[in-house]
Amino acid sequence: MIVFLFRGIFRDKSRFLFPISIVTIGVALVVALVGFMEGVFMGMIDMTANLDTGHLRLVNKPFYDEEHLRPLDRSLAAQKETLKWLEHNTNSDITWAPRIRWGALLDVPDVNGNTKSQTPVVGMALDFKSSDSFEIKRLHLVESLLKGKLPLGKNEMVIGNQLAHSLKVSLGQSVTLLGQSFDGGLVADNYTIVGFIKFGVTTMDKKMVLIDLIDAQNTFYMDDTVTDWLGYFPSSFNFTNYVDVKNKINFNLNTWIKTPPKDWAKDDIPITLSILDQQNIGSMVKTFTLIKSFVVGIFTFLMMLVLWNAGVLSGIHRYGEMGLRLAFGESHWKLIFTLGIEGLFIGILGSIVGCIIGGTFTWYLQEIGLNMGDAFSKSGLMINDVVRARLTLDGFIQGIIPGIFSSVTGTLIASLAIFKRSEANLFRELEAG
Amino acid sequence: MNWDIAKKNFFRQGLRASLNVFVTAFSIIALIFMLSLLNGFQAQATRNVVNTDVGGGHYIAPGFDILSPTEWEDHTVKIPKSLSQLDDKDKAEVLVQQGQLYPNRRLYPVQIRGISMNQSLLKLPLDNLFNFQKPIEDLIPAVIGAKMAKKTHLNKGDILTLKWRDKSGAVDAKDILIIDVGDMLNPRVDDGVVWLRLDHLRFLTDRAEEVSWVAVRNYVGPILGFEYQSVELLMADLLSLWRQDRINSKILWAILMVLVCISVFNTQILNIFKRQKEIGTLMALGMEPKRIVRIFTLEGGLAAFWALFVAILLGLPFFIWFHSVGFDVSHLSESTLPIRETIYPDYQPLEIIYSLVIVFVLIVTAAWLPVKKITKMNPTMALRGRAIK
Amino acid sequence: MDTIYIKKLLSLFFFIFTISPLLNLAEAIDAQKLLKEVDDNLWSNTKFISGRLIIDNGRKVRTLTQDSWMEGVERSYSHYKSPAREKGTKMLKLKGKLWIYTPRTNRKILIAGHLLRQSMMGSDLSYEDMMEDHKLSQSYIATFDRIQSIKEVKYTILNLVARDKKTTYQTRRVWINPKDKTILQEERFAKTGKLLKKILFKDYESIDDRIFPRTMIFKDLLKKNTQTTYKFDVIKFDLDIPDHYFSISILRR
Repeated sequence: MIVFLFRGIFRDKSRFLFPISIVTIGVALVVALVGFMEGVFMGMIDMTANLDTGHLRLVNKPFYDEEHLRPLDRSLAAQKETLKWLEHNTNSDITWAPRIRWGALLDVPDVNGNTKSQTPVVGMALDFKSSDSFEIKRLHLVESLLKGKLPLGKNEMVIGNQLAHSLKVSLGQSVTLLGQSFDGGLVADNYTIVGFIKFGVTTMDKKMVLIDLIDAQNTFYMDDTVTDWLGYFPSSFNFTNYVDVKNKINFNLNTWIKTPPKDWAKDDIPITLSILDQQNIGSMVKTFTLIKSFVVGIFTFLMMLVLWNAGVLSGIHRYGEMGLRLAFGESHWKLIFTLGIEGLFIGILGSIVGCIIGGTFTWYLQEIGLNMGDAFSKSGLMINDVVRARLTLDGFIQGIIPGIFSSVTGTLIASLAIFKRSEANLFRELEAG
Repeated sequence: MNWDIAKKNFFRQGLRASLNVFVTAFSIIALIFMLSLLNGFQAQATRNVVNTDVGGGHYIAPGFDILSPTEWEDHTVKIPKSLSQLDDKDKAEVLVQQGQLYPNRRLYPVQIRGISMNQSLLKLPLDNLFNFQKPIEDLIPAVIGAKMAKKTHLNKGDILTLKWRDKSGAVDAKDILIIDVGDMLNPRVDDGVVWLRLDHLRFLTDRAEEVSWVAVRNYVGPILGFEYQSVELLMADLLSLWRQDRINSKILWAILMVLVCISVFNTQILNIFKRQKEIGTLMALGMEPKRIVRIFTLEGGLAAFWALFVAILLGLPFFIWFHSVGFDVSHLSESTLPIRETIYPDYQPLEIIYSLVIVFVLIVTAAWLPVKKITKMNPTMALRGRAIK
Repeated sequence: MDTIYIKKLLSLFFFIFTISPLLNLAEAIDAQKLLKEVDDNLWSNTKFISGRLIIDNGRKVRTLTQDSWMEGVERSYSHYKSPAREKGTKMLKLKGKLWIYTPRTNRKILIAGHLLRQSMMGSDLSYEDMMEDHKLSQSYIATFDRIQSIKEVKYTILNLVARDKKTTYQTRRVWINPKDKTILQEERFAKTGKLLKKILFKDYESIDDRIFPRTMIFKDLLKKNTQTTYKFDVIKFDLDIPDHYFSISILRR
């Protein structure tokens, strides 16, 4: 019976092509819209997460309390042991990236090696060089590089493009970082500027410097020590679960603190924060979720109206056929039931095709992005004109449910009309159409 | 005559026509709401930055850069007459110095910002500072923002030490009294900023009549020894963020419009399918196919017109109501966005008209596209209802 | 009329009677002279110190060893010997300028402007404090404040006011033992009078006819739980220092 209905749908183009294409377009639009909204939203979260907060962040509490001073002396030692612990005690799908947040004076020498200019800079040290490091890709550093290359050799740095401009430095120039070491001592180390980067945010373009983690550890005498462990979930992982994971890690940390690594100081207390705890992202997420559900809600409602309309349309299309079937003695209820099944088929098929089309489009926006700005201007690391989407299960669910539901209800509502009309009437419509 | 036929036909469509009208009307409402809320958000955030910091632009002491705190002391100058003689409502003198605050005896580097108390150009919660009349021999009155207060665990009434340098480089320190924790609305004037009275800061740092910049209401022409920074320059980051938001809203707008067009397109296809005989009859009676197309397109246009009407009918009360309650974003207070109060949508008539025209044109096009094949219809087949399969 | 006259005369007599001991004492203690005598005891034409800088930042204690050569108030050269990280770091003060050299960078960097205000090697002293290591009697005008007995020693307390308004600490207060011309402690104040730093001089010993402290303890009073102790292990006065020690050319490997 089902095969029969299925074959029927396929053989009749008017029963098949039009309703399915409407459902397809509708579902594809919802998938794309949700993907786009998620993209904008997660893009904002990820941008902050990638550079600053991670989805999760393991940090020493004394460091976190005085973060504004970048107190390297309050960093967390035992990097290797910590990584091992993190790998064994946290979800296997979290990638942990060690970082060092530092601040120093950047001293630019003249040709004789005398100080030409000095300016305070803030910096982040990340793993540029390990073959398994994902940091370059994570921060889209290649795309944001305006000139030069990324640090691959010893003591190389990339600096914000406006900083480069104000210091009048060129690529390949040697500069000195002057700062405080892990234990409060004076630190001075030479670095070569190898690249200029565009962050897209003035504060960072003017003051930010990126160096390799190992170099930073050498410079600041922070052997086996980092200031932060940033944890990253795969993009499919929903942020609503961050808090649970964070709590679990913090629970495990409490046990670990009882038998701490020998290199930890007495008052070292590592804590885990989620991105929602930092920079007020939590509240922004709440607002954005509200706006998103509002927009998606309105859209889904409108979509249902359209699909329902399409269902009504395809039902009307087939009044003649119904008249014939009623004339052959088929009961009204059975007729409605088979129509409903057909609606379901169409809904499912349309949804599948819609998911494929919408999903492909969203995937394209996720991976490649759509540059809505000046094609010649370089993308910034923090703010750029490339629109990106995010493919999520939610998007598919939010597309499929109204897709199927509207198709079935639309058909059923249209089929209700057959109760109002006599077989003869419907039969006449068969002759006509 | 076309109009009469189209009108009659439109009203006879019944449920489907009203569905279409409602879909379009809701879309229009959603569209205007979305645009206006974004406008309101951006306008309010921009207004906050303008009201608390930027004004109509800054006349900045040459070489001064807010991002280079170590050089603030080196770039202050005496206010020139052309700026000092401006009315207090048209200018705000600002002196910025580096300071070290010691909450709980831990060092916290801060920006000490002194602002003239008589100015009314910038709106800052500094009334208590203005009203503080006691001499500053014992305690210096200071105001900090809510965000700063939270970070430093300081409250109104707290007393702590602030250290700075005077003009000659001599070190100075004194206890300050937090006489108020204010809602700064703008993180740029909150985070790490300690607000003092300009006369106090000038006295303490031995910088009589000196400023780091003067915020003005309007550009007053080039002034020797000062660099003018326009609002656009001072707000470049925020404006680029707004641009990104606009791009995103355009995409949402486009998706919504596709939906509306599908709805109209859909209905028109059904219309011509169902009304083939009618079309055939009209053709047989000698009506030109082009005219029939016009009638059908007009029907579609009517849908758009009615949608507009319904949108006004339903949307107007909603918009008015929403404008009175607003959208509370006070929880964003600690974010980096310069906004923390209720957002009210900003309805821009020109933008709304502009959007509606686009919606109208799109709908009419969507209504016209499916019906244009009427011109290719065979009248006999249409009469039999078999012109379209 | 007569009664009024007598009353006035009596009050004048009473005033002179009560105030005269103080006037006598002030006369006896010439504050500036005393300060100069203290400087003469502490300062020599040239000086060599091999010492330890023990820096306690409230969390960790770090010890740096250094050799310093000083000539007058204008020229000084320090060479850090340990820990390994600081080894080879050199600091040269010359004509009001301060250079630092680190072997790692093989560069001499001028510590100027705001860098001078930074903590020196993480201690409670800033580079500026080091630059202002002047003879107090030259930089400040001293006035007598009072006499205070501490552990049965009567210390003369002097208030010092800077001669130049560019001097970092506009006022200081010193506790001087007038007998042996030594300082017990020094307080440094902000321009408007807030106490910022306290320096304790301890372990006085007689070295080459001078009474010199072996230990100085610096405390930044705005910070919690930090202190820097400077221990002088070897002290030599009036020695010959090769001229190249105070030349820029010493700032290299």
